[in-house]
Amino acid sequence: MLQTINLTKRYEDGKLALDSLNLEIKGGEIFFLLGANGAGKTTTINLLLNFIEPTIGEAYINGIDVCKDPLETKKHVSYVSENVMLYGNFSARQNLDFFAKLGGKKDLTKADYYNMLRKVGLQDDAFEKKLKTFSKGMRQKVGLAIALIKDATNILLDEPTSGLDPKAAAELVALLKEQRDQGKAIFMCTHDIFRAKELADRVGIMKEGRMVMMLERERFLKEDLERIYLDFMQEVIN
Amino acid sequence: MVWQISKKDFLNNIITSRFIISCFICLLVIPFAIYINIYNYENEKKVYETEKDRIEQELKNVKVYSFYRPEILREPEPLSIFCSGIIENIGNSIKIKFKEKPMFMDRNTQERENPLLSSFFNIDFISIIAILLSLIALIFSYDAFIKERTDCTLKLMLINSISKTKVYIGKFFGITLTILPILFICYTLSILLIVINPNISFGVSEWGRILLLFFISIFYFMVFVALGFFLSVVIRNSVSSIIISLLLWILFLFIVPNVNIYIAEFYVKPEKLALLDYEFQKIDDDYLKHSQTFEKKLQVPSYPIVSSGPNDDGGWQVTRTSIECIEYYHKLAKFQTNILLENASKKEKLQTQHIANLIKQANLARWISCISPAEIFKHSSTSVCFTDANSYWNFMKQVQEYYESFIKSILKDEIINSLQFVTPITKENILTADEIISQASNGKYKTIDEANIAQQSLGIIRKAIYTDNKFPKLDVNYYSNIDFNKFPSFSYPKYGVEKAITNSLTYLGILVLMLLILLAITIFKVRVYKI
Ligand SMILES: Nc1ncnc2c1ncn2[C@@H]1O[C@H](COP(=O)(O)OP(=O)(O)O)[C@@H](O)[C@H]1O
Ligand SMILES: [Mg+2]
Repeated sequence: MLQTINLTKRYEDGKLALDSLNLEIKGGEIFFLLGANGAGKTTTINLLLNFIEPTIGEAYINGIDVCKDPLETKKHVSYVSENVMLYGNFSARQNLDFFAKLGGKKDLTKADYYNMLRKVGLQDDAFEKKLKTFSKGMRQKVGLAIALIKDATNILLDEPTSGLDPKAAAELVALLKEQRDQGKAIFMCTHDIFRAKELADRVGIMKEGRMVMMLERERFLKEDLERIYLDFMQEVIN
Repeated sequence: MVWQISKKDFLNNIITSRFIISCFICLLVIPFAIYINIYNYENEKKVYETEKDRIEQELKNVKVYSFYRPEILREPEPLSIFCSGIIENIGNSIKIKFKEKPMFMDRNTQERENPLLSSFFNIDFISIIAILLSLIALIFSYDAFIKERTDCTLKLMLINSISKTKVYIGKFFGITLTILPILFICYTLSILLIVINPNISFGVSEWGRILLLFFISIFYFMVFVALGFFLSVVIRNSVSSIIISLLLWILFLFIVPNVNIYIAEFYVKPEKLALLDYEFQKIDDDYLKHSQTFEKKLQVPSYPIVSSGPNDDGGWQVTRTSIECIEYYHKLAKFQTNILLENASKKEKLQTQHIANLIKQANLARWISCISPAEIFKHSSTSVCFTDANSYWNFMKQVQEYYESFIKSILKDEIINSLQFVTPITKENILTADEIISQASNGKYKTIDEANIAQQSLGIIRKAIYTDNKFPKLDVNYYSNIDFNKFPSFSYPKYGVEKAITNSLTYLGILVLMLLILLAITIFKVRVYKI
């Protein structure tokens, strides 16, 4: 479960990147945070993961304050970063192995790693290849594998579909559904409206650091999500 | 978890081109440096052996006490192979003289044939380690944090229950572990070159001290790893970080070691050696005047001097002559010896002043240079290899103590007041002038005065000694060398590992302190590091 109360972030340069965000994502729910570049999506994730300190407000993971006990909250989150360079000199399996061990999964075998890599859709012949030879999409798959192998109750993804081909994106949808069905809370930042329509239980639209609209699944299926989203974007121009 | 990160960094680094190029350069440069220094050491040893033989030969010709001037040889230091220190600037032998307390080694037998080459060849193992390892350490660490941040792997690590401090410590040891094999290769390679050389055999002290050098080298490169890490934490982009790293590297490795000397020379100005020499010359001239007036006061014996040899340090060897003559020179020699020793203590005041200034200057230069970890490393290495200024002064102190005890033994009644001081002719073989002339003239003249009046003495005695060889027992060749057991002998203690440890402890302390300070401020910065 992810929760924020009045979460606000003003950067040192005075930029208000997030303004009083109140949000609660329960286990078994997929939440999509939509927003243009610079809307404050990554800032929200960074606050939830205690990578940055909030200016005002609190964030909770499974009910634990991320500022008071960050190390404890880290046990309950997986994360797919925006940039998935990973370690270029390591193979996909070695990257997975390193982060799995950091995540406390000490006794996984090579077969476990291969299964996970296969599950995220990486071809078999790439498992032992150095990551610096990978395309962005392939690295994103490894990044996803790293997040899934930790098997945490909350998964935060920062624009995970940006480098994926349609087939891989479809596979991602299937994987996330499976995770949700296992009762996990999924928080995904994206500007990929199609994926949101397909997968989201709830969608938030963020603009200039403010959550301007929150839509339940029934509502955005009834009304056209694309229309709503673009309308909000339009206001900027007006 | 810290270990996981160390392992990751180690494995990630050793397959990079940085690592392979570093190893390659070490493999290329180290054998070359070691080879040259082994060659130098072997040469030094050869010189030492021939010098030892020469001194032994010379001692056989010392047949009167006043001629004995012990010569002290400094044994070549085996670990100069690793670190030549100031060895190249100082001589390896010194002759003890009455007229001057020994201050510096006399001759420099290791001087190269071509003085223009000297600076080129000064590169030794430790200087290479100092230059290469610091550079390698910086190259591995300058972007350690920056790269993890820009690649988002830092975030992926911190998503687990691990603090930034632990990530830092893990990475720090990871890079330390990466450089360790390079250092290890350097040492194994040089040890190998030493072991396969049949002319060099190292004892426990040498192996122990090499091990100590190895440990010091580890701390040394760790300081640079810590420095690179510090930069990678406070600087946000890798280009600025590498530029600042390289500037610091140049500052520590090349600027500080030169600037410190200029500063020291500016603030402490010892008297010029030429001035000192001038003062010494004045004292020596004084000695000549004194000794001439004393000689005039003495009653010259009527017996003509046939063979005697004064040297420049108040030594007299009087042979083929009579007791009167021997006693005359004995008096002169005693007088001269006393004057020389008096002068030596006059000079000592000047010397002490001069040396104190030199030491002050050297110390100032050394402490200034301690702002550079590379210089601290070199100081600690030279003190472990016993090739530093302090080891040299310790040696000279022993030589000076020896000088004192040698002079004391010379001034003993049985030495300076015995006729053996100036003549090899033993008591029972000494003849009076009258005995000599009567034997030489086959009884024609009973006394020397008779012969002198007839103006015959010189011719008769010359003929008897040189042509007829009538007085073999008055000849120096009849006698063997003096008994050297009457004098103290010089022995320089051989120091072991403990001495090396105590010598280098201060420097090692500073190095460790630097490391801890860097670690502490980096940890302080890491805790508030913006991801
Ligand atoms: N470290 C920072 N310092 C100052 N401003 C920042 C910083 N990080 C992000 N911003 C600003 O905050 C706003 C939100 O950024 P971000 O959360 O990265 O947006 P998104 O992920 O939605 O594209 C942007 O205007 C960005 O320029
Ligand atoms: Mg973003």
